[in-house]
Amino acid sequence: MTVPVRAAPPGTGADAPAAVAALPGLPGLPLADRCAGPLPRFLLAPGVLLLAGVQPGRRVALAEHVGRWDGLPPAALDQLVTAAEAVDLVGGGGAAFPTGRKLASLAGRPVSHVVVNAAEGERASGKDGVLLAHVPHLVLDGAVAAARALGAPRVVVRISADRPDLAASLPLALAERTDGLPVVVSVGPAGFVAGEASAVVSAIAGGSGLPAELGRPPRLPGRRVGRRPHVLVSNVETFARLALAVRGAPTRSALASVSGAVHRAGVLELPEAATLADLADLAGGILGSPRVLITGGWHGRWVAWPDAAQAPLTRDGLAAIGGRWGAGAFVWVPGDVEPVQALVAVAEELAAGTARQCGPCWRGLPEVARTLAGLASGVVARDALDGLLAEVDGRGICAHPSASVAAIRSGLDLIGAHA
Amino acid sequence: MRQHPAAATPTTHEGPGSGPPARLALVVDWQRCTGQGVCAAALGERLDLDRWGYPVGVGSRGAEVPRGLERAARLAVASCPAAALRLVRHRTA
Repeated sequence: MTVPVRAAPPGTGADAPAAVAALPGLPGLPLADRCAGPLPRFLLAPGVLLLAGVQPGRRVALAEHVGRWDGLPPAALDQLVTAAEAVDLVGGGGAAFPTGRKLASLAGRPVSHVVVNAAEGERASGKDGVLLAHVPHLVLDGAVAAARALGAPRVVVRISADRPDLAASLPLALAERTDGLPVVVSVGPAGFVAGEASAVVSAIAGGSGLPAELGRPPRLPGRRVGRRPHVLVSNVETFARLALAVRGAPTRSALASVSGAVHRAGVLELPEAATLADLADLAGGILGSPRVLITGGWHGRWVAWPDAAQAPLTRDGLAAIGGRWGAGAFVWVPGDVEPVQALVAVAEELAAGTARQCGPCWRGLPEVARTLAGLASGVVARDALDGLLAEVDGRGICAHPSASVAAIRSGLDLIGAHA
Repeated sequence: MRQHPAAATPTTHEGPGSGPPARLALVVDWQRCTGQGVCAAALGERLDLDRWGYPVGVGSRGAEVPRGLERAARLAVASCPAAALRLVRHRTA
């Protein structure tokens, strides 16, 4: 077995140390790290659309960006909405909400910020960081187009505190631009729920940085509800594709983060017609004999491998095999890790990811993890775990408990089917 | 079941001039709720507690209060030690 060496982190220059990746399956690492590590933070190969012709580790400067895509055309809100709806653009953060509808819902309302959400709290996802490191101007074009159409006076790029490379490279990109409105970088807390839209807004407004109520569009705090300005928060990838939609360019591709039992963990962009097998091949191939592929990250769905190999890299293609696209994160669980132990590790991370706001979540998810560990060692019956999951499902104010329960049930179903 | 003193002494009244009673819904603020279970003592007909003592069936959109239980619902709100409950006009989905 050879130890794969990661490329230098993009945007940090030649003096950045080339990190030597920990091998999945290496003894001594926490189980979740063995399943997901090394983290998929690096572009493995030039892409097909957003990342077409892009050399891994090299940022595309503004002149090169304009040479490829031309300048950003002006677009009123209705034009932007039409452009987004014409290509069925949906959010790339995981929830797949239609971008056109989100933009249209803000028509005639005061919008104080357009926020590029690069929090990327899902550990199995690295695509947003890769886009910002390599094609920041494509992302910023989309955000500036949205801000102009909505009359929003400023754009905020919200990055996570654990990405100093982006904090260093983004100002270089911003210095090249003349958008006529302030675009600032905001460094917020890292963590699983920190990337949820309302949590991002809370952090920007100097608040708790914790998620607010499910289904409420984010607004800045204020004394009078009617005067609280709205905030458009969308994922990095969404803005990059919006920048193409407003130009009338093609917008569709599969941007995926791959990790776990593959030779090279990282981010890849393929045509949507490509399959999961193609994705694994581009990641240098599968290591060992994994039996489980986690699709859609820790909040995703577990599918059997290699049964899933021929599924296309689309939301529908994944859904058809019981998978989930989510934010495009794919983790092959190393074959020497018992699937149920991997599920325990994932459940522990989900429990650790609670915002500790709502009792049923912060008390429920750790108990789920403990009960799952009991199930794995044969001292707890499946019925007891199912009852516990039902008590956590649908509780609390944000999506974390329900999404965690759905993911764990999916893993249980797969393990049960193969037990 | 832990009993809160207020649960045994219903003292709340319908508001003055409220006219025909509106449909009410009980909403829990999960950031405040500490799982003391007082609400279930006051409104046992409507509320169950989970294994940690948090009310079940009261999502962020609220649980409808059946007719005849309005007084008990107001008592539950008034006696919550964490001030985590409130009554809102029920929004029919």
